[in-house]
Amino acid sequence: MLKNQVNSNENKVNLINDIYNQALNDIEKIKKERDKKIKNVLKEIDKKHVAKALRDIKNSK
Amino acid sequence: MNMENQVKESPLEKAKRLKAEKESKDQAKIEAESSAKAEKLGALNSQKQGLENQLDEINSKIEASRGEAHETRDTMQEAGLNKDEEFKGEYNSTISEVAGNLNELRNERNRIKAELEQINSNIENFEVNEAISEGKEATQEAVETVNQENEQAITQVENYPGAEAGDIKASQEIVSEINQEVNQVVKNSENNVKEVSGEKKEEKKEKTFDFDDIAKEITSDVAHLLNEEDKRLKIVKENILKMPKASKGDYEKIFAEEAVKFERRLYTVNNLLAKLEYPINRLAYQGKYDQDRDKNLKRQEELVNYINNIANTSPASQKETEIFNILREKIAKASDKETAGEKKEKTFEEVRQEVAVEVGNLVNAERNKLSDAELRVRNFQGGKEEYEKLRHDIYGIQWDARYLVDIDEKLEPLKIIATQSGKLKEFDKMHQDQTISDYKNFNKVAGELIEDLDKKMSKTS
Repeated sequence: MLKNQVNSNENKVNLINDIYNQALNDIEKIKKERDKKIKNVLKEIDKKHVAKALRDIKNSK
Repeated sequence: MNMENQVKESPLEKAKRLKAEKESKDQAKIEAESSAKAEKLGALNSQKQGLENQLDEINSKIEASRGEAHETRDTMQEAGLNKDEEFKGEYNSTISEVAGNLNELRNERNRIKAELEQINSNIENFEVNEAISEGKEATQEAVETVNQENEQAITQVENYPGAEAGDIKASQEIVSEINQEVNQVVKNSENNVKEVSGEKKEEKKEKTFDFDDIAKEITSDVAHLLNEEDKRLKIVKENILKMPKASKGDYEKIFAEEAVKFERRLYTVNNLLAKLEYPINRLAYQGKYDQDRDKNLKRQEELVNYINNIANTSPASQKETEIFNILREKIAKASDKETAGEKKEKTFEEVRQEVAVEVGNLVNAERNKLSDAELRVRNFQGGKEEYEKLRHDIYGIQWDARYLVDIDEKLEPLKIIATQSGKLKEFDKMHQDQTISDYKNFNKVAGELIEDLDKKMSKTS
């Protein structure tokens, strides 16, 4: 249990800071994951876009 | 810095200048934060000081009001208004009025004490509360940034050349998933912080009064007492039935002893039940659980009825009735001739003198304890541990003087002989004896000492 590790206000403050820092790090990781997924969506759009352009060129010949 | 100098600044010089600028900025930030904290703490201490002043003021008012209330009562009682039918009504309404005024002041004191306790807790946990507040703020900022970036991400996909409805939907799903994950992180961090900062509250909770716990303890103690008494009475009954050549006096002696034991048992049960009275009133006095006081007193009354009912219908009680009936029958049948031989025993007067000495010794011992407590209160400099100990000691003296358990124990032999010799009226006079009257007064003195001690504690904490 977390509470068993706490002996004084100083320990509490350190522990609380650790908890919030960990939360901020986790949020950063989630953001990076989101950016990666959005980039993949954009890449897919590009791929589809290029494929369509190639198809259009082929059809026009 | 002019243009010529700017041009001449080397990369190393630039690095040093930037480093100094950064350090100066960081230092300014730390100082600003520290100053803001000091200001907050100062405001809390100032609030605390204000409340302490209010508490002193209300204590003085209570003191004055109590003095006036006593004087009012004494004045009317001296004139016998409380016993005169014509003035009795006015006597009662005047007493109610002064009591009401005093109670209003006490309620106000309880409110101030509760507020002071909250401020003290805020001061004590200041650093912890600040860490929580800063952490929450930083987390909230991060969440807002995530939300803004999420909107930008969807807009970016919407405006991306060639994006179709399916792509936009996919980006919205990604963002929704992200939001859930971020919310979970925030929730977990808040729960963990609550667990850490809640430790102190849990410690306090363990120390506070729990009606159910005490009620359970009392019920169990009474059950144990009745059970033990049942075993004892079984043996007493067997012994009475086995007594071969018992005289009328023998039976009378047992009858008197059992009568005293029966009364003592009632005292013990009542003392056990009174265990609830003190914490209920003490918590109300401290301003805690004030709103529960009436409810708890009602529950206490119910428990008293319940326990008394158990005590009156217990096997021990039934055996007792049987024993008394047997003894009455035996006494009636025994011959007066046999009782002549019993007169070698001590007379009532002899026992009275012996008991008076023992009572005197007991009262002197209690008086010494009270003097010692007075001295300790006078020299009290603060400190929670000494406060709790001293309060406990004084309360013990007050308790003894109020319920007279020890005195009754000392009077027990006299009561037995008084019952045997038909001198119960003389025995009752013992309770009006000056020594015992002085002893009863210790209750009042102890009560005043507790008030003085509380006042000193309020000033020092």
